[in-house]
Amino acid sequence: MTLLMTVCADCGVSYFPARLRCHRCGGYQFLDQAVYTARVSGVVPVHRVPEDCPWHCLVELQTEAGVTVMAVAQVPPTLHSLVPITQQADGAVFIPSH
Amino acid sequence: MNKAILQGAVEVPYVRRSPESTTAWLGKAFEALLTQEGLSADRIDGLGVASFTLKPDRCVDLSWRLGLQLSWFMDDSNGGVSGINLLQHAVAAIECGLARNIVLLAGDSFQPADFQDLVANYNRTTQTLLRPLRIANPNSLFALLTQRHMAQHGLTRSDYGQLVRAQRRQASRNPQALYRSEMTQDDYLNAPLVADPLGIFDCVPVVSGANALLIRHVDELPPGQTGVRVKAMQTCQNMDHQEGDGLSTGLAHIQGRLFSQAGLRQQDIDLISVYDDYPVMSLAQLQDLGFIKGSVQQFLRDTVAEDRLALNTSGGQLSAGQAGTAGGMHGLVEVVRQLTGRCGVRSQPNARTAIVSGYGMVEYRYGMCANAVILEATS
Repeated sequence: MTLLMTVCADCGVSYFPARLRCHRCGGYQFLDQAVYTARVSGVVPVHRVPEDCPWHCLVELQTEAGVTVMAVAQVPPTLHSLVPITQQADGAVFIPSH
Repeated sequence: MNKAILQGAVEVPYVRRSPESTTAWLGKAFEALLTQEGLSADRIDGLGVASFTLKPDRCVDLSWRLGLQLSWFMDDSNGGVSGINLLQHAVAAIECGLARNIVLLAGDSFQPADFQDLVANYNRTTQTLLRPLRIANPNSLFALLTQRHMAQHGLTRSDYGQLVRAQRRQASRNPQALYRSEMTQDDYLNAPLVADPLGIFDCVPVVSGANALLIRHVDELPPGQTGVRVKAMQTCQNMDHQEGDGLSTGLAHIQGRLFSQAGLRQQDIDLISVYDDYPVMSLAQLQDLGFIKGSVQQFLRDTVAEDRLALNTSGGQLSAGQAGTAGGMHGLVEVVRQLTGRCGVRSQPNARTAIVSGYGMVEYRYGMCANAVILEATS
């Protein structure tokens, strides 16, 4: 499933998670915009992982529009690298292994 | 803010696990407070309650169980800012004549399922975007902030250990703190990692407990009774729309107004209590409030490690435990008890002024709420 940002229809600023009102221009109308890649800005190896959880790293990502997205990965991605991102139906944003 | 006086404060000793309900804990705190102050419950006309686990009950249900008839009441579930938030509204209620004798309660009793439920359903954003990640919880989110803080200030894990150990030294003198045993730097550094770089001593232990505060109109105080007056109080919520780096809190916005309202400077403050859910946020609050003048590392090594600051004198939540929303009142209770001379052998000598800050309510990446109050003992 493709990750969707919301973009203010009036001023073009991107948001994630979605907002009700653009705090920059005051607009209430938003458009969806697909995001396929983002740059890694932080990686936390997590040591206490629930059983059957496939992910072991919490990853902070920056989209090209400058929006921060929290995601997970099985293995730690390289800091500052550009990675593909996708979203599961349950809402989880993750970095595919391959 | 001349009419409202904080007369008393209690903390029902926290426990690691409790079979008792949150209602029972809050009831114990209410009873302990009124017994300590020798006040009849019939005099209480205002009640404020902060709790995550009181649901489905609210303040009004608790007032019924306590047999109170109220002219003012308030619920607050805003975690680390709830104590000061309740205080802000209670003071306003007394100043406006809405109530004369207000009790504020905060507490939670967690069964294992309760805490999981709280973390998974903290707000809609958590429910829909963080819970599905399975490993995105406060520990991993604040680990990310700690990494950033380390890089920004050139710190190592050892530096954070100075703060954690200083608070443990304070806790060793506080019989009510749950974790009082000595902690060496090796103990701290060799503790199991939770989420890099956070070890178990960087994460508040979840406990059950309750706190209570009594705020009265000055004319209600018995003759000769002293208390604590609010000199200044400021709040800043959603300061950066979750678009910052998470290392600056709303306190940076309110610091100037706060000290100006109080007519005091940082060096005039005798006691400091910052909301210590994680060491990184204690340091962020101390910096935003203007207590760290030079480098953070120098501050930790020269001031904190040498116990030159009366900081989180109860041991803080890192050593006393975090009883849910009671964590938002823990620091207030500690400084009111210090300023009214109720801390016995661990009293801070000649303490007259204190600052308490609240922080919390993680939306997506970090806490979006902050508030602070400056208090002064009445003569």
